[in-house]
Amino acid sequence: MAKQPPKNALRFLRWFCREDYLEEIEGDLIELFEQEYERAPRRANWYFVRQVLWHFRPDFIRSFNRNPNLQGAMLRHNLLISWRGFMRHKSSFFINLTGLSTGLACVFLICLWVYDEIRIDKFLEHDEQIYQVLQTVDSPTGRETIEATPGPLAGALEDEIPEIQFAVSVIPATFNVGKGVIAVEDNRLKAAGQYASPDFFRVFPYPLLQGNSEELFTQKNHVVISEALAVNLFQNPENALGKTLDWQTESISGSCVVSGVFADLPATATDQFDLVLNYDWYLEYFPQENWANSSPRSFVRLQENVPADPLRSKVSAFLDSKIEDSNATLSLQRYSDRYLYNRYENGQVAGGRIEYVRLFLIIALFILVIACVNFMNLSTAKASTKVKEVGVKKVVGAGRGQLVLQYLSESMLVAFLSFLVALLLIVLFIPQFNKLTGKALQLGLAPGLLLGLLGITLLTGLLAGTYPAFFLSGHRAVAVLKGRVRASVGELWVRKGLILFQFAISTLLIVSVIVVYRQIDFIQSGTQLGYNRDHVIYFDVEQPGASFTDDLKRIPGVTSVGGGNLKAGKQLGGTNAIDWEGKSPDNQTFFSTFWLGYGLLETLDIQMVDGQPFSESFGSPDQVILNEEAVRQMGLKEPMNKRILVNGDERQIVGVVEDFHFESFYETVKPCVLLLAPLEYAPRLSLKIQAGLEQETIAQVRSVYEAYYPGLVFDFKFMDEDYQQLYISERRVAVLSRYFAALAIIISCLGLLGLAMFAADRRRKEIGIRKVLGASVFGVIKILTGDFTKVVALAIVVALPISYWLAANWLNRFHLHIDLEWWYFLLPAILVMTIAWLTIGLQTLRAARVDPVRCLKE
Amino acid sequence: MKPPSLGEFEELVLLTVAAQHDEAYGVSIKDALEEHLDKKINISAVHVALKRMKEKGLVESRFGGITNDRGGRRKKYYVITFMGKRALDRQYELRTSMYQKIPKITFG
Repeated sequence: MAKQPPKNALRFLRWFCREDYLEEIEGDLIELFEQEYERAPRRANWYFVRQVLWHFRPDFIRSFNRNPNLQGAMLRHNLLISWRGFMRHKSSFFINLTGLSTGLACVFLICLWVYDEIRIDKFLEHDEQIYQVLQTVDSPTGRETIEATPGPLAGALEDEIPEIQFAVSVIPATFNVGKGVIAVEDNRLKAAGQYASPDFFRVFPYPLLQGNSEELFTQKNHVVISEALAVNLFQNPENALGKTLDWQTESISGSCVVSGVFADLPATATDQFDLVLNYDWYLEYFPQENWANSSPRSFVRLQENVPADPLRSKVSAFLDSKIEDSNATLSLQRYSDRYLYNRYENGQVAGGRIEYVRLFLIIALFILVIACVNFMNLSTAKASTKVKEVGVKKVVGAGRGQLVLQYLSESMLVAFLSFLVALLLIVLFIPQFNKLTGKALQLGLAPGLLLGLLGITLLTGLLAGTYPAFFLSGHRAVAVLKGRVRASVGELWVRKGLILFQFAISTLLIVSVIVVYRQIDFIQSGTQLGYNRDHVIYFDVEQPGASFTDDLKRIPGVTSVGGGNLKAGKQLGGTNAIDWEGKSPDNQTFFSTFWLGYGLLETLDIQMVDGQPFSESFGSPDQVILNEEAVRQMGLKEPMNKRILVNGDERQIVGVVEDFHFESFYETVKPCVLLLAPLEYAPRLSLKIQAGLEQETIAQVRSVYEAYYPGLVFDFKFMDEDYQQLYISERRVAVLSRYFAALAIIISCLGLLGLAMFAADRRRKEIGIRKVLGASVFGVIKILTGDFTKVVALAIVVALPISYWLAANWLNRFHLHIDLEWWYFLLPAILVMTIAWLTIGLQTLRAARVDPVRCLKE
Repeated sequence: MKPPSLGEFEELVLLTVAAQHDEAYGVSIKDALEEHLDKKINISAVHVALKRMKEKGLVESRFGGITNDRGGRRKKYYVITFMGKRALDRQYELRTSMYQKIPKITFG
């Protein structure tokens, strides 16, 4: 047998050559090739290719546009056929549209949220040079990473490490001293102020509208205010420069001169403040020379082009040169990373909000996949009913390309319509979504995202259309018209596999939602907290004298008043300078310390295990109360009336309280000591108010407050609201995941509904025959639902162990958590099964009750 | 009726078709031309000439039978038509008559 000419060249020739010339030219070329092969076998291939290329000229090239006038007409025809198809099968069209569009809308909202999350704090110029210095403190109960750093740290860092260009100390606006009142003549405003070292605006390049970042704080009383504040107080930013305003807080008051105005902070900034005051001024009131005390936050800006990594070891050991036997190390974290990565374990970044971001991305992916799977399942299932149409078209002379085009354009059309509906849904639901997430998202926020979503939609359409397009158009017309086309077994398996996947995911989501809800409920009910926050308000006061508290107690709605810095979920400070009888010298246990006035334990309803709450009748103010954990840590057998040294002062133990959760639920209860504070040391008052009398009582408290502190604004908070705020991200996750789980199951059921309808429709004749032969309605339903039931049941079986594992993992992150109960898994299983049955059942019931004569007559 | 014009290469191909009466097809024409002209001829040029002449009605074609040669492709045989023959005749007359008008010229 002679050698064959090169295949590709031949294929090319066949592709471009006119059909009526092809055989002659091909034959001649092959003959010449064979001749050439005899003579010079190696050159023959190349010779053939050359000859083919020589023929690539207008005389021989066929017309690719068979009939130019037909193209537009065909497109219109295809659209018309598609439209008629939609109208004829309204239900499946509607199911397809709803499923895909809700899925897309949901995915888009999630993406928008994620996009907003990752953008937070990234707006600053040279953000890769701005780092926060964090402190990790070792104690026997664990390593803890905190934001507070020693007072002199910033100055020392700037002086001693050349790679650090600027370092600043900041007392954030969230501290007590940061909340105050600004007064300009009669104009009074509440504002959030932070105290910062003079170089603050060189570390954080917030854009300045007025003033020069290098000479903002030349005087102790200089202040830089926000644009909004400037407009509010002085009509416009230009006008504000050099003006004087009065700043009043409980502890720091005085008049300040405006030396600059910064542009309003974007919503994507985590630290929000209205004015920046001079840290030097703060130091006058609260000197920070002691390396052992940590209060301000420290931020540094690295020199241009200096990488942070080599610097870390230098910074880490920095404290060793300042404090003997320091049990703390320092670390650097990029400021803009702090928002997403704010959980630390063992001094290392261990996650934080980023986990929610990832979680939601995964959910988005799942929903997208479920929606797309649905769409494809339904489209491919429906396509098999179009076999006859394909046959007729082929007989009439439609080319394969035309058929492919028709099916592709049809499914792309549905996908595109879904996209439009999705956009509509997004616009409709964005306000609600914003309310749920506490964000200000807009559709136009990320045009790239929108394009990406459109791309995904069209890709889904393409994928869904590809199967019918190529599978159906590939059949021979005769076979198709004789009805010899069967869906392949593989196809059925794929379809079942996809249903299984959908329902497994739905089950997983439902279980997760139940577990998350129970846990969040558990946290928020706070029954395990050990103290009662209900009807407790608290506010900060400057030097609350006894007469003030007495006046408060006289208000009929106030049941008790207590002073002290105990606050929900916040650990404020601590010490390891506690000595007791029998303490071993190397014991470095860290005790949280709280300063309490009389009455606070009663106000918060903290239960005593032993002894009494602080009481005036006891006489000496040197009293201390321990929690049970502290007693355990100290190893005291009979703690009552023992004397211990706290920071060098001898104090007598007058009571032991139950372990109450003063920190977040993620933490174990740490040992703590409660010290009796003179009123002026505890500038926070908590009031228990009688239920039902909140409005009147608060009004009365306000008038008492204003009588004692003229000029200050009475600013109070409900302790339980404060507590809710602590777990707000968990609650948002819980609420959002509930909606997403509902969506997932709805979309899955839509798919199942479509398939059930389709299956019932395809088996009409079979049902008719069965009924004629005596099958009951129930028997028919059993046959029709059996298949789906098995798949859904299998999905549940697959999903439950996975969800158990996930739930157990998640719960383990909380120190206090609920136990997984069997019904958390049984309920979703029953729910999913029931919904699936209802979905299929209604369809099959209709199919089973059809008069057999009618469907057999067709 | 005036026969259509004839290019030089077309004329040569047409001559070959006429000479190989009823046995002329692409490759045989190419071979004959290469032999006479003593130079390489590209088969595509032959095909172009044949198609154009067929459009002008100078040649007719028919398919041969299927053989095992040529990968099973049929040959397409070309025959000269009446019009083709007339075109050749006219061309020939034109040339001879003009040639005869050349006075006796001798070189050296």
